Amino acid sequence: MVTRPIDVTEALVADTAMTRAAVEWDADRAVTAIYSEHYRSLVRLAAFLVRDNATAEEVVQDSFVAMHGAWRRLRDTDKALSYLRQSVVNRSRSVLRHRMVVDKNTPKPPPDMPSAEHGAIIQLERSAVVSALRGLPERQREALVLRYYGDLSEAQIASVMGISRGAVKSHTARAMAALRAVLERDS
Amino acid sequence: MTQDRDYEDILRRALASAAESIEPTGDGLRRIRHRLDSRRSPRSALSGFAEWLELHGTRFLVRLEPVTEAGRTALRRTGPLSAPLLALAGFLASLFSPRGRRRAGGHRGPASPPGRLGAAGAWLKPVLAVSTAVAIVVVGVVILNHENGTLIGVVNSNVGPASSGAGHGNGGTTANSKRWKLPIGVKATQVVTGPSRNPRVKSVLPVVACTPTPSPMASATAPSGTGTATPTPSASGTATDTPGSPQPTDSSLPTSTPTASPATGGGTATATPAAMVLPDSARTPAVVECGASPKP
Repeated sequence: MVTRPIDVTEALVADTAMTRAAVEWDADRAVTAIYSEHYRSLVRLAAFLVRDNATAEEVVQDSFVAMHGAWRRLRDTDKALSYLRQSVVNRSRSVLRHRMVVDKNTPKPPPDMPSAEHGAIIQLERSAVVSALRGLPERQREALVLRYYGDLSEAQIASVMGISRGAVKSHTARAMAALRAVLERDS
Repeated sequence: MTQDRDYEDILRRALASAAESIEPTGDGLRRIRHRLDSRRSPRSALSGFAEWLELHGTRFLVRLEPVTEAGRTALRRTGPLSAPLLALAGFLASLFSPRGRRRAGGHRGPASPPGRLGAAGAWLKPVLAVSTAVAIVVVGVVILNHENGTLIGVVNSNVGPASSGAGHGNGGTTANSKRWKLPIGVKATQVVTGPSRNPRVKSVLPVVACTPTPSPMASATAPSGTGTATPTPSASGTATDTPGSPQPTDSSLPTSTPTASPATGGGTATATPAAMVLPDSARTPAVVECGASPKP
């Protein structure tokens, strides 16, 4: 029969408390470091997905808060960045889903009255390509943005979007075909 | 193919130039910290409790190691019964194994496999831990109560029914009462049950009746010689138990205070020793004569 002495128990408990404090401090430091390096690109990525700057910032800030809470099991900057990207994509989807429900249930404004998002959308529609991108389905748009703006590999996109690599290829190919069709038609 | 490459380049350049126009506000970090602080305060109570539970749970489990080891050994000895019990214990232990991982943003993703308890594992684990602890405490209290009641019953049956009368909570009284005898002149006529701590054990107290033989003390206050004697033994008398004195002191004896009235002729003195504890020999009502002087 193994009996552990009491001082070992106390040492274990003290070690747990110290580890928790260290993790907390580490998470604060990681948030600051990743913020200074990747916040802007993450906001831009979210802005392409949700088509609204303010909402994009909120999405990214929420993701940072979630990353801070999950730092205990991340404990790595690369993992944290991957977590942040995935969190941004998932939260952007949630925003779009919520926006869709709100748009269904609110009366449409008259044609001469610009909507609240109009100003933000105008900023993104500077080029015909971005305008065509807006018309794509959600998953295809995500795949294109992550591929051509985020410069992620297929495997990384699959991880962020939560789909297989084959599905990523399929979404990307269809999106490119649709984009080309729109651009050729416009030109 | 080349055309595809061209479109890819066009798309890349267009996205880059569009992204240049998106500039986040400068107070992002301040907002994140503010959110973290506001998130910490409402969660502080819950997370504090969870941390406390984790810390003290670890401490408890480490201290419980010898007990669990003994339990395992005992389970192995039980033979065929031990297999399902061990399987159940293994299943319960596997529920608390840290395999489950939360996914980023709360959505599905192939990167992190779900835990055995799924999404409910985050809140189910503390709930299970607390309910198990409560169940253990409740079972322990029930077992202790049961054992306590059994012990009281055993003690009462050993000491005798007179030991459970009112007004004797200490052992000295019980020890003293074993040697206590009815004063001479007091006759136990019937047996009644009194209050008892253990309802299963009846307190048997003798009710004694005196024949109207006036004692000298009684005759001083009741000249007619007919009175009702109500012996009220003092509590101090029951506690003066010394090993060297087998007989109780005089103060422990019930003193008859006859409330005699001349109109009452031929009354009977009824002694009700509330704290009177009798030995086993006194269970059967002993007929004694009233009026005789008590034993020194």
